[in-house]
Amino acid sequence: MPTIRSNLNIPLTHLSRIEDDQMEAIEMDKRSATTFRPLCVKCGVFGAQDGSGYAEFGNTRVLAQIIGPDGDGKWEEDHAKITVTLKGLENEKQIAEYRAELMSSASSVIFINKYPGKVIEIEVTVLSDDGGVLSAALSAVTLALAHSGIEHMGLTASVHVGMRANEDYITDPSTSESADTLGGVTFAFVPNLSQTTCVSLYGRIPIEATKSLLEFAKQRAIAIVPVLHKAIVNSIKEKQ
Amino acid sequence: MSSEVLRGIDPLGYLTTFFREGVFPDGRGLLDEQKLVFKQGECGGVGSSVVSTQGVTVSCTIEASVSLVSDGQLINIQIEPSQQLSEKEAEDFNNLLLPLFTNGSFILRENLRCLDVNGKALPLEWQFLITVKVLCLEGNLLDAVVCAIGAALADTKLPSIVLNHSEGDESAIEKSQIQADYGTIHKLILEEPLMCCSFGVFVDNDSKKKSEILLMTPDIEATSVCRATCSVVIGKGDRIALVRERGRITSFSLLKKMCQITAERRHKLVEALRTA
Repeated sequence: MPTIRSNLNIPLTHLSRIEDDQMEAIEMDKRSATTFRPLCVKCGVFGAQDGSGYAEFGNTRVLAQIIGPDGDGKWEEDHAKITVTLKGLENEKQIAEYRAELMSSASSVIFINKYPGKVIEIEVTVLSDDGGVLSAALSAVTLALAHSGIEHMGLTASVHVGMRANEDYITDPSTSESADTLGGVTFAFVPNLSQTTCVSLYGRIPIEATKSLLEFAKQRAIAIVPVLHKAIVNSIKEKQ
Repeated sequence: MSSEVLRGIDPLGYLTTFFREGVFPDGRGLLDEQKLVFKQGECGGVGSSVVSTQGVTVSCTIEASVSLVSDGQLINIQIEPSQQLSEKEAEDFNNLLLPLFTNGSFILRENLRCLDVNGKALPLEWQFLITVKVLCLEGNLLDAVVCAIGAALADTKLPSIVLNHSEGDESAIEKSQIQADYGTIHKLILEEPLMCCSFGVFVDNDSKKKSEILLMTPDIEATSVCRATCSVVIGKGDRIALVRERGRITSFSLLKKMCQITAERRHKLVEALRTA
């Protein structure tokens, strides 16, 4: 039987599109600078186990699970070891960068001295990425942490803000909305301590605009706190 | 001695007590079905699903690409390893599931042709990369994965393709000649849904007959005391699409019973989808 092979393989996302009415309608639907994309957060996703959180901002969906604190038989220090695994992203550089930010943010709020010789594993799965993955991951992790019962200093509110060339801000931009931005910041903030746990700036932000950008990001992060609180309260009600 | 202590030091004795009474420790009957929850279109790609059943939650995303008509493999499955699923186990599951596509249990090859706005087949085919992420693994993976793939395929929406290459033109088709038109969307024509059920065979050594007890969808704890486990996949017309056996099953009637239970469950699913 003859064998026919083809080397032509074009991912659908690489094909040029014939624009349709629907696309135009989507483009018309612009958000205000302070509005988040439609969001959904959940504390406790799996009934069977403790320590999971889910955050959805538009089409960006991230799930976090916390395993532990458990002893692994190797770690014997007087504080807990925190590990972060990030799955669902293809870009290795991006994975390394996000892992470091997540690790730093989680380590700074967990009372690691209360868990000597234990390992706390944080597993983050990106279900779909449409911009603002780090911010969504930070939200999912803080919800998972709250659900796990691991002692920590407080809730971390995070936000992704983009900045346009005319110095307008856009809260929680999607990938397509980020196309016309100069750069942006992912900002994480612990409201009850009034401390920042993550500032990840990217792009070309003018130095004089940085302060106002961070202040705007802080205000947007504070705005999301009630939503996170509500998710945690709901999970407690469900448990009861 | 409290039951929790007994459970820790003698799991076999603890579970045997329950199995003799015809229930799992959580009160579920040994052949009772467990809830299956699925959600479609949540994880990107051209089609996706999240399925949760029996303590297992998986997400499935389908990425599509366009290729020229060939006899090469059109579907690739990638189960991503996780902390609960080793790389080798993930690879085993990949190899196990691939024949379900090559034998047309999920979808026939001819239904993977790219269509134009009028539904006419073009000399192009869709290639799918099916990525399954294991989010929680406290039971049998195969049941959830088969359901997740089916749900993701049912959710798949593909754009019409516009091919600017005349039929008589013998030159090779180039990328620039292919465009996607999202104004007309086509759904996939699928075969009837598959159902996968996993079973455990527990042997009660203390009883005189050494009877074999069939357990439907046992959890990890119950599976650890089973002599054999078996996963059965049933498709259209109650045809057996796949049987995966681990351990030793001595009675043919048990295997027959497993197939019957799976077929009945599949009928219920088909009926539920029809009335939904």
